[in-house]
Order: sequence, then structure tokens, then C-alpha cells
Amino acid sequence: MDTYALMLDYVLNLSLVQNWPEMQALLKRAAAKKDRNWELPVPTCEAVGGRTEQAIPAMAALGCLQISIILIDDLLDSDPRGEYHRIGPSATANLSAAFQALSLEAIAQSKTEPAATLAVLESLNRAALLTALGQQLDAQNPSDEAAYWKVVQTKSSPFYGAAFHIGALLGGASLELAEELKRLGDLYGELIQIHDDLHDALAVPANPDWTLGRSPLPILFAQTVEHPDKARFLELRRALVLSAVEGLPHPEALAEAQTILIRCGAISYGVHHILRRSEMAHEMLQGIPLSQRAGLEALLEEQVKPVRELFASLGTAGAS
Amino acid sequence: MSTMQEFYQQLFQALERDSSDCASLLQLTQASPAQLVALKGLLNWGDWHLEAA
Repeated sequence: MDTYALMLDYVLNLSLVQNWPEMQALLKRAAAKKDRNWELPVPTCEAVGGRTEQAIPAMAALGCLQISIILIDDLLDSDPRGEYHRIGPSATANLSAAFQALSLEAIAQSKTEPAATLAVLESLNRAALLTALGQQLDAQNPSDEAAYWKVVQTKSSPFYGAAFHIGALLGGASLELAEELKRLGDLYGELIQIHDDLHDALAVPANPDWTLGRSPLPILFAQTVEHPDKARFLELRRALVLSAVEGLPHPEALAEAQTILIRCGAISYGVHHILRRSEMAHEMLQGIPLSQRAGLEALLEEQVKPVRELFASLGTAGAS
Repeated sequence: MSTMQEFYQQLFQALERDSSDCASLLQLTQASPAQLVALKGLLNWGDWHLEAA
């Protein structure tokens, strides 16, 4: 049985879920996607000498926490794929609260020793609280770089920090060692967010970041830095927001705005941050005393691989 | 000067040309959107949705 099947079996057997068919259905649907984020506690569990099976409650807790966050995130973003379109905003908000609580229940019902259980519960609860703060800050649309990084460190990093942290704790790590892996997870979360921002800024058709006037890193760069195309970029941004309000897609404006992102160095800036954080994460990992580090090294490598491929396609030698 | 502005100046004035990453980042500003497919291709981690795209 693979880890997702084990995790699903574990959660579906929790008594609270057995009385709630809608939760069961949503869990099964989400687990079928095999979201790679859910498996993040496994490499840290194994890195500290734990067995894969020990990380199953952590996978369950993380999966439930992610479902809870997505349900709310889609409401905040008015995302067309959001569950709220199917079941309505009230039921969505209620299910989100239930999944957040189920995340803690998955740990409370595990057979982990009490001190580790308490530390895991605290970690998950803190991640949920910080993520909610991050969502709140993000909804206020950060207008400068300091505000942007604050959103990243509240909205994105806590989930990944907790993923690394709870995997290590269930694997039997000391509190100190687990804390070091949490910091690595926080940094890993920043890497994921920068990738996500680059992806969204370059997406076709226009992502909600464009249509709702949000400011992911590349767009923030292009509208903040003094460059020759800044005025034109701001004009195109307004046109894209307006076209979304009117329901009339404007692919030419999007293509021109994305070309400006490339030309003005906004994409380069995001890539620069990926390279910097990747280097920091590798250095941090080398300094952590672990039984095995191959799984974590592979995770970090995945983040810089697309950059290396991009540079190779351009015929340049960077990111070696 | 903001960190972003400083990066912009360094990138286009190529104050750090000795760095291969800096040269690559400068070359990236001349890429076509199609070439950025390599960067976009492996980035499905951020797809936080309950349904597939």
C-alpha cells in the first residue's frame, strides 16, 4: 500500500470522520490527486532515522491542514475551481474549520509518545494561525517588497516549516533537531512561493494575480523599479484588471505585460532569489546532523533544476 | 535605494559580470516567453487546488 492509501485509511478510520460523508468524499477526492506536499513529512522522518510508517499521521495532519487552507484560499481569491461553487460559501467555511480541527485530531489519535504529540500539535496550530495571518496580509495586497516577504513568511513558509518539523518529531528527533529542520522547511516554503509567483505571472490565460490586481514578486518588481517600460506596464495592468471586470479577455495585453516582465529583469529577480535561497538551504542542510539526507537533498535539487534547464536552453552556464 | 532597484542597476550595468549567474540572469531578459516553458514545466507544487487544472 502506498503512503497516500495508508494515510487515507488512517484518516477515514477516525471516528469523527465516519459520521460525516461530505468530509469523507472530499478527503478521498483530494487524496486521489496525490499532492506531493502531503508527503513532505516523510523525508524528514526518514532523515532523523524514523520509518516511513511513523510519518503517516503527519501526512494525514498536513493533508487535512492543506484542504482547510485551500477551501478558504479559493474563497478569498474567487477562484473558479473553488469548492464553494459546488457547495456554497457557508458550507465551505464550515468544512474548512472541520478540516483544520481534523488535522490536530489526526495527531491526537496517533500512538506517538506524549511529548512529541504535544510538540506536533503546537507546530500545526501555529502553522494554521500564521497562515491565516498571511492570508489576511495578502488580501491587503502588499505594495512594497518588505510587505511582500512578510506575506511569504506568514502565508507560505509556516505550512512547509510545519511539514518538515512534524515529520522529524514523529521520526523521533529531539526538539532541537526538529527545530533545525523546521527552519529548513521555512526556507523551502519561500522557494516554493517564488516558483509559484513566477509560474502565475507567466500563466496564460491571465491568472487571478493579474485580473485581481495582486502583486506577486515579478509583477511587484515591474511596477516598483524604475525602468523604461514602467508606465506602459502599469497601463497594461489596469487594462487586464478592467478586462476581467468586463469579462472580456485581453490576451494581447497579457502577452505584452509578460514580455515586459522578462525584459525589465523581473523574472531574473525571481530566479536570482531561487538561486540564493537554494544555496542557503543546501548550506543549512549540510549543517544538520542527520542519519540520511538524500531525500532532502533531492527535494532541494528539484527547486533549482528548472532554473538550470532554463539557463541551458539559453546557452548560459549559470546555476552550476 | 530598494533591493529591487539595486538588483536592476547591477543586472543592467553588469557590475557583477564575473558571476556566471549574473550573466545568465542578464541573458534571461532577452528570452522569449516560449523559452520560459522550461521554468514553468516543473512548477506544479504550487497548484493548491482540490481539482486538477
